[in-house]
Amino acid sequence: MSAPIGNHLRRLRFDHSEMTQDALARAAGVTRQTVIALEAGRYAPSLELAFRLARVFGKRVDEVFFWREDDAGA
Amino acid sequence: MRIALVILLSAVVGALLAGPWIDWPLREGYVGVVLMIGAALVLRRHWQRRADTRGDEPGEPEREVWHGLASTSLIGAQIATTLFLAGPGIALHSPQAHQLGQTTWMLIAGAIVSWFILHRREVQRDERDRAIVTQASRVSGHVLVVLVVVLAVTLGFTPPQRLAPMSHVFLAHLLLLTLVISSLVNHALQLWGYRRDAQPGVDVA
Repeated sequence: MSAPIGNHLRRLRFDHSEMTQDALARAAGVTRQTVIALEAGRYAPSLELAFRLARVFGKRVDEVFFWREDDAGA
Repeated sequence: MRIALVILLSAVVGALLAGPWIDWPLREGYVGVVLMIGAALVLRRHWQRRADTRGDEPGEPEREVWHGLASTSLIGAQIATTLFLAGPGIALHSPQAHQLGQTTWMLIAGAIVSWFILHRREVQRDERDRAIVTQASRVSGHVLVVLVVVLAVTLGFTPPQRLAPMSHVFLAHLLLLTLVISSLVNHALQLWGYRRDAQPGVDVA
């Protein structure tokens, strides 16, 4: 079952000079495995981590993460 | 599937170390240490190869859980098999109890050495690791409570004449086994959490 929160992390990484998962993980202070889980849509980050990831790309949180309508139940 | 396989294989090794079926060239505890160190070296090389080729190697926290699962299963099976073969009357100063103690402590030493072999210096845990641990600990805590209550009620309602043959060594190790089972559940649930997160996901971008 996937997390109800989707993200554009993979695209943003490639837009930022093809940043590696490892580089993103180090910049955000998480493990590379967590970046993999996030990109696969298997893990919904905390608010703090969402802000940290957005800051790495110089974006707002809502430009990086989105609510999946399918899972919203609305 | 892989989690169950590791539990099963480790338990079989633990049972074989405790039983009389194989005439080991060394004391059972030493054999266990050699096997644990060998397995740790093979595993370390395997994970390094996965890191170099596919980039999908488990992180440091997950490695520790795999190690804990295998070690706990091996030591637990060794204790359970020894108790089963020796019977409820196992005495403190008996050959079986001495072998049980020596082998268990050697296996614990082997678990510590193999942990250092698998351990990397940079240990990083993040919120996902902590969430997985919290979820697994909650369930394994409930399992421990249920096991202890079942054991206590069973012992409490067992007629004294049926309890008499049970030595305090046997009862003490039964209590230890409840901890082992709870720990196995904890490790297995953590690994299930990591496995769930590692499955191929949906297209998110």
